Formats: sequence, C-alpha cells, structure tokens
Amino acid sequence: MTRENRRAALRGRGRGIGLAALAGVGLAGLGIVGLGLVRSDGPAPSPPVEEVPEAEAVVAPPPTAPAPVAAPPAPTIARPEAEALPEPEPPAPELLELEPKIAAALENVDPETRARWAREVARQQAAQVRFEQGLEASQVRARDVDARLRDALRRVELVPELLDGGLMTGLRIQSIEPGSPLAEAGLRAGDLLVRIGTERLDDPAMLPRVLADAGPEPSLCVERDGGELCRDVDLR
Amino acid sequence: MTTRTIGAALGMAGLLLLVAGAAQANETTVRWGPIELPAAGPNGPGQVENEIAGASGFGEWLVGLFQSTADYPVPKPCSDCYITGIRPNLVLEDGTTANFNNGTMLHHVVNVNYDRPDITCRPGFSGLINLLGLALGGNERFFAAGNERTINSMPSGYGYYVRSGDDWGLIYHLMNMSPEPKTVYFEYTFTWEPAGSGIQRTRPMWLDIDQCDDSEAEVPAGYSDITWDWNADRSGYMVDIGGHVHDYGISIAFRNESRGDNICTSVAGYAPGSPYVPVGPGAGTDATHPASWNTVSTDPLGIANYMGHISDMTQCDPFSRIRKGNTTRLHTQINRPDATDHDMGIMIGFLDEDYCITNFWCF
Repeated sequence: MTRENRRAALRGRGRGIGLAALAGVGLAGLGIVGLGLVRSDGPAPSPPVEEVPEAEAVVAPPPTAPAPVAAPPAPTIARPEAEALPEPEPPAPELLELEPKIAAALENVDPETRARWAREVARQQAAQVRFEQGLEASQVRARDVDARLRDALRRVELVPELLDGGLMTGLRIQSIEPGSPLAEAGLRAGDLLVRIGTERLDDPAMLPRVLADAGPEPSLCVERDGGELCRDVDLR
Repeated sequence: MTTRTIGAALGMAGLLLLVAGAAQANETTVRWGPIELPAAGPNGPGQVENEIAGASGFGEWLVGLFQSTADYPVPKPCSDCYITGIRPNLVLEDGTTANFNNGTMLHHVVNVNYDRPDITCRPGFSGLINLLGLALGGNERFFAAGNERTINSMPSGYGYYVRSGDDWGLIYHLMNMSPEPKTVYFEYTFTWEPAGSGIQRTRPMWLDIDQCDDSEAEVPAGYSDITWDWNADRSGYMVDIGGHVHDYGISIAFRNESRGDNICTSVAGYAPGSPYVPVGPGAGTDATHPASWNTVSTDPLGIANYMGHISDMTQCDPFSRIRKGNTTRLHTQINRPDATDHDMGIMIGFLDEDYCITNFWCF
C-alpha cells in the first residue's frame, strides 16, 4: 500500500468513526462518553452514618437543637393573576443527561458558549479517535521517530487547531523552550505548524507516520502573519 | 518574593565558573493571599471551603457559580523554567507556621495551571474539574498539599516546565478552630532551574478516588481499600510520586496491575500516641500494600504542632515503567472509627513520557 493509499484508507476509516462520534452531538452524549477512567470501590459501603467533621473535637459542640414544633398553618393569600410567577424554564434537552450539578452550572452559560464547548469537545474526541487509529494502522512507536527530532519536539508544546470530524489545519506552537533546537531554527510561539517536508499536517491519523519519516533534517513549515515560512532544521 | 541561588557552596563558586553550561539551582519563595479565616463558632470551625484563586474573566464568573473566588494574584516563582522541588506551607501574617497548635489547619490546597489540560480529567462535561478546564482554558493539577505539607523533590535531572504565559491558580479548604479570625497566606518555596539547562520534562498525573470531582469520597466505618483505575493513555516512567490521605488513613498505593508492579506506597505518619492512628485490629497490611504508620522521623515544623493529626506522607522516586494500555490502580487504605463523606485519597505522580505529540496524542 502506498503512503497516499494508506492516507486515503485512514481518512475513510477515521471519518466514519468521526461522524459516528458526532452523530450524538450534544452535551448529553458528550457528558457520558468515558475517558478510560473507571472507579470501583472495594468493600460495600456501610449504611450512612452521621459524619463527624475532622476538626470538630477542637471546638465546642453545637448546642442541641430544639425539638421541632409544628408550624401554624400559613394564611392563604390570593396572588393576583398579573403577579403570578412564570413557570421555571425546563432545562435545555441537551443538559438532561449530565450530572445534575454540571447541568445546573451549564444552565447559567449562554447557549452559544455551550454549543462552542460541545463542538470543541466533539472535535477533540473525533481527533483522538483518528490519532489512535493512525497509530495502530502505522504500527509506529516512539522509538521509530528520530530521537533527536523527538527530543527537539519535546521542548515545544503543540496544540491542534481542529476542524469538525477531527481533521485539523495544523499544530499551533503554544510554547517553545528558549534555546531549544526549534527556537534556534527561528520558530516561535504562535506559529501554526502546517507541514513537515511535503506532508501536510491536516490529519491526526497521519502524524505518527509523518514523524517517523521525517528524519533528523526535517523542513518545518509554519503559517505566520498570513504567510508560510519554512525552516530546515539540522538536528544531527 | 525572595530569590537566592543555592547551586553550590560559595567556596565552589570559582570552580563552577569553569564549568560551561552548568545548571544553576535557584530557590524562590512566593506568598499567595491574604486569606481571611472567620473565627470558630458554636457550629464548628471557621472555614474557607473550596475557594478558588487566580481565575479571571469568564472562567472566574463561571467558577463563581458553584465555588467562592478570591481576587489576589497567584504569581509563579519563575518563567521558562523547570521546577525541581516544592516546599508548601501555610503561615500567619507574621510568618509563623499556621497549624493545629495555633488553631489553624491546611485542610488541602491544589495548585492548578489554567493553561494546560489535566491529563486524567480532560476538559469536558463529566465532572467539576473537567468543566473547570473548559471554562478556564486549562485545569492541570500539578501539586497539592494537606496539612502534612509533603515536600516534593524531583529526582536529579527532572522537572515540571513553567511557561512564561502560564496562569496559575489555587483551590483550597482552610479551617480556623480558634475563637478569633485569622489572616493566613500560602508560602511556598520552589527550587527551579532555567530553561535550556537540560532538565527532562515531566507531566503531572493526578490520581484520586474521587477523580474529577471535589476529591471528597464517602468512606464507611472500619477498614476500607478504595480503588480507582486509570487505563494509561501514554507510556513513560513514573519518576516521582507521593500521596495524601486523611486522619485514620493507613496508606495510599499506586500499582500497575498489568505488570504486577507496586509503583509506590505512600504511608501516613502519626506522632506516637496519636488518637488519629488507624483503628481496629489489622490495619490492612498485606503483601501488595505494605503499611507502617510509624513513619514520623524529623519534621521541621515540630510534631507537637500537629496535635496527633496526620503529620507525614512518604514519597517515592520509583522510575517504574507504564505502558500505554496498562491498567493502573490506586488503593487507599483507611481504617476509621466512624463513617464520613469527605475522606480523600490522592496521589500526584510525575511521568517522563516516551513521547506525546500534543497533550493527548501519545505513543
């Protein structure tokens, strides 16, 4: 299989899953997507027992509360129709399946922001799926990436600029360690890394293979101030 | 903020000048606060509970919906640098350590970087910590302390990278058992080295029996071994790890179940005769959870200041291998005389990753 064929195959497979991930878009779906975290408690919990605050022994105990006394019935006051309070709005449908306190907090967030967050989370999940598929298909391991390139990239923090379906426009350089090889080559924070050699960085699924093929003298191309700038980096 | 260089004895200074590129270890002390603690009253201690500091803008507004917020800044000890050691403390205004002997307690404090995502609680909608990451842009929990104030000291050559643009914050719970209000500050001393000094970058990993929520868990009376699993999404070596439990806690252990490797058991220490030592016959020690709570040795604050409460947690530099896909498990062993709904079991480890292209795309 040629590299282009592999790329096409990965794109096709990744897109299917990406779309599947997006099919249930909405906060409800996102809220219950597992992140590989499982909690399990050991012994079965005892029946609830009234807690004793940790530091309570140091202060005087609270006075004993008086025994409850039945309150007299409240007088009935007819509320004028005009002053009737509106029924509370039901929560937005997409919040219904979230943990109650998360849903409650999100109800205070404007729908536009909620939608933006949901879209971003969906993109990240789709991109993660694509990356993992690409890794599995390529069988690339960390040791397959040139050690000098890997060490140089470890001094740079990259954040993907994601599109729907988990594709991306490139990797934004969020920070670059002063004095590191890529900083010395002229790259800087804010640059958008878009190509390594001739390979466009537009698909997380392709990254393992692109990095493994890059070698110790990669040409890194970034978008900066509306233009593209390429730097040959000699890591030998 | 005070800074001093402690790289070598003065007598060695001339020699060091001859060593091109030799790394300098610096020490910087920062104070964050003030935090006003209300006086204790008939209903219990005065508390500032789960307050958050350092958040700003929209994120602060959102967090303020369910947590109180503080408006003092949380400056970093350095920028473009590697933190190699952290010594946390809580002090009164005059610099005296705030502890049980003067009616105060550092219940817990969490140090958060608002510009990086937390790798075990990815920003999202699953829990409070995930949501914090969405609202603030990042939620990386990179250090925490309880009243025992465990000192972090990375193995030589490893550090936690601090960018110039990072915004730091705190989430904390403080208590005042005395009848008068108190003003307290966090006072941390950091050891650090500048970027370019060849330090290996590590990633903080937060492991918690209440992983992405408020870290408070229900624990029944008697012996418990509460577990939480993390399926590793990256490979690397765990180079440094320590834990935190509450009174009556025995230990907290982190194991790689896939490899049968006990990575670290962080053991709680109590002063001899402490009334908070885990109760009951058999504290749960077994082959996979070696536990011994008589770990109190030397304590710069003085054991008496703890008044019998938990005063130490041991720390490990295990250099244990974790492979992507491994199942790792946290074990918190507790033996309580009563039930509670706010026990904690937390470990923070630092992972030397094989290689991650981004925060989450890892080999």
